[in-house]
Amino acid sequence: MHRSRLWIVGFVLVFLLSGCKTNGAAESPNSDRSQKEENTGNHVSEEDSAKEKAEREIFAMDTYMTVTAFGTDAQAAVDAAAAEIERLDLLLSTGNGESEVATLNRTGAGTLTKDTAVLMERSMELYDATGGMFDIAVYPVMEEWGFTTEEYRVPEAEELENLLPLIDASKIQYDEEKARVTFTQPGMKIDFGGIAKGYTSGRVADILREYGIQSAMINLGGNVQVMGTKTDGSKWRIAIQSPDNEEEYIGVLEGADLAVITSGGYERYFEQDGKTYHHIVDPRTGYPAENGLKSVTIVSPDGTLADGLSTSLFIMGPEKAIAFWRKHAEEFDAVLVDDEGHISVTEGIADSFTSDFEVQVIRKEG
Amino acid sequence: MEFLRKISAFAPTLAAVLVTACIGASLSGYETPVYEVQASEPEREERIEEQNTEPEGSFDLENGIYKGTGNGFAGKITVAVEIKDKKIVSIEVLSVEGDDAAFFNRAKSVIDKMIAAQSLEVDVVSGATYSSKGIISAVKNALTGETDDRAMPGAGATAASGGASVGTEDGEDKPSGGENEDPSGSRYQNGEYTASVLCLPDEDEDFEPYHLTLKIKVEREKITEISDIAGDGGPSNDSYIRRAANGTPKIQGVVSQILEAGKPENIDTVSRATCSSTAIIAACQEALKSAEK
Repeated sequence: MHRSRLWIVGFVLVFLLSGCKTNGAAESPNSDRSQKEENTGNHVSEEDSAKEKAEREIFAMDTYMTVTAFGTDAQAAVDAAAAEIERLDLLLSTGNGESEVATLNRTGAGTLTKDTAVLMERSMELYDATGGMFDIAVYPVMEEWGFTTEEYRVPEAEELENLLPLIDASKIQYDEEKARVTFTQPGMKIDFGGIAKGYTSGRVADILREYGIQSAMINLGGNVQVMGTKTDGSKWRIAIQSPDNEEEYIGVLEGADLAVITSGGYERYFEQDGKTYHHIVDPRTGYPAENGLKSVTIVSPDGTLADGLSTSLFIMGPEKAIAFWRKHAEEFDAVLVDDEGHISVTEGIADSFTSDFEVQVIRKEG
Repeated sequence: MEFLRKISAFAPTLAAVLVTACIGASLSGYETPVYEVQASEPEREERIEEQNTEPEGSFDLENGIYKGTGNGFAGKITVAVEIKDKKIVSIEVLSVEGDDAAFFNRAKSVIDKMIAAQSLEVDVVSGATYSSKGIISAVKNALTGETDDRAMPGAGATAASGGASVGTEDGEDKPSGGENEDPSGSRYQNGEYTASVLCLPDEDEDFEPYHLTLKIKVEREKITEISDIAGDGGPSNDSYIRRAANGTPKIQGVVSQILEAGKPENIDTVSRATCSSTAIIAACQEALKSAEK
């Protein structure tokens, strides 16, 4: 259902590669000014200290991540961020038999800790809001397709049919007070992969903020969250990848304090007998969603929401996705690419999105 | 920045070619000569111990080239990762068991993005995924000295053993990446293109890895000119580069071979300059990639 679904244990170890304070390395080509300031070297004056930069590369949740922060405590902040990513990876990985989620899937019941309780609550909210399009219970079907192991296969229709009764998060009993979960059907399994990276980027932003960081960029395998503006006060420029060509962008969004999360069938897929099967599975059918969209980008200050809705709206297809946005326009904006390649953008970000292609603006009053 | 972008243009396909000729037994002992190297590289084992005792500590690596292997789709995949200033500046796919073109294409895109996650115009790209089994773990392993082991406790074990009980043995299929072939038959845009590749010594040669840069001219689907061939490893390499490019009275140089063929395919290397030869061929292939429509 989501690209982060596959968290092999091999990736559970988080490797913190880089902890470098870049003095003089021009990482921000848009900004000659910040470049110059970084060039002041090790002896950072008080005025310049806010521009101190630290970056770490992390391999976790089956992907490659970078956290970049600017500020006096930038190094300590990104170190803490990396530790948090590692902690959440260990907690949420379905592939690691010891993780809380894997344990729950094995036993069918359990009491959640703080993070998983929040994720469960948000998942249930999203399930209700999207009419079941966001469904953490889709995991057994993902296993059937091999998306969890990358050992892909096309299941028999009958196999999927038999699993569909399990694919229903409403059959999860959740007592919020006690954080107690019970699966009411044997064989049910869940995965927070559809919101885990969005939640993680939100957590990382919180931690960076605790360290007084006001400017940062978090990129968890293409799930982007920016904090504040760039150090020169200009907005971040966030490109959105084309679903058709990995080297192209459909456009660039300028913004501050935003999560920008894109889901599309191009992220993980396999081919068999000339047909492409991607990883965003429609919980109603058990098959990859083919409902008219090639990619969906959600823009919201709330990373968890953005992550969850990117797959949900993809499954809904264009008409229902637009209707959904009209109902929730205060909470998020979206960029949709339909099967014909037409790009549409919701009103709220129409002015901050630039593209070389023709873009249709979706208005609240249709 | 300019420099990094050039390196990032590495294609693993070429790297594989380059590597066949150039990779020595142990890459991890080399230092990158291009930059200031602070100290000789400490034993990898020591670093792993540090990592174990201090898991959330900063994982610092000396400048150098690290080799690692991970489990890809069809078999093992081996990469060389070049570290400079604690950052990855290049990743090359050295070998892939049961390799197929689709996998290389997929790998290339993952690698390109890992190195040059941002272009000049934007700060970051939403939706650019870096998930590729094998590549990510091979890189990780290169930097930690670990190995993948499919039998490792917990590695996918819950997914395989739990719940749904349908055998997956016979239905397996290998994924393939998207390929964009131009149906018109014309692949390359006329023009001049520059590329830079890493030249690594093989077992018989003793020099420090360096980057080789050159420019090609493409006209009507063919390479018609190769110029500005230069290494950044100091003058000691120049005689080898010249030998590779121009050949000797008895051996044809790779440049004239490529120009005769019009393309950098099935080119013989020049003996006692095999690494430079391979690097020139790889750089031409890389430059040709930029010419693709």
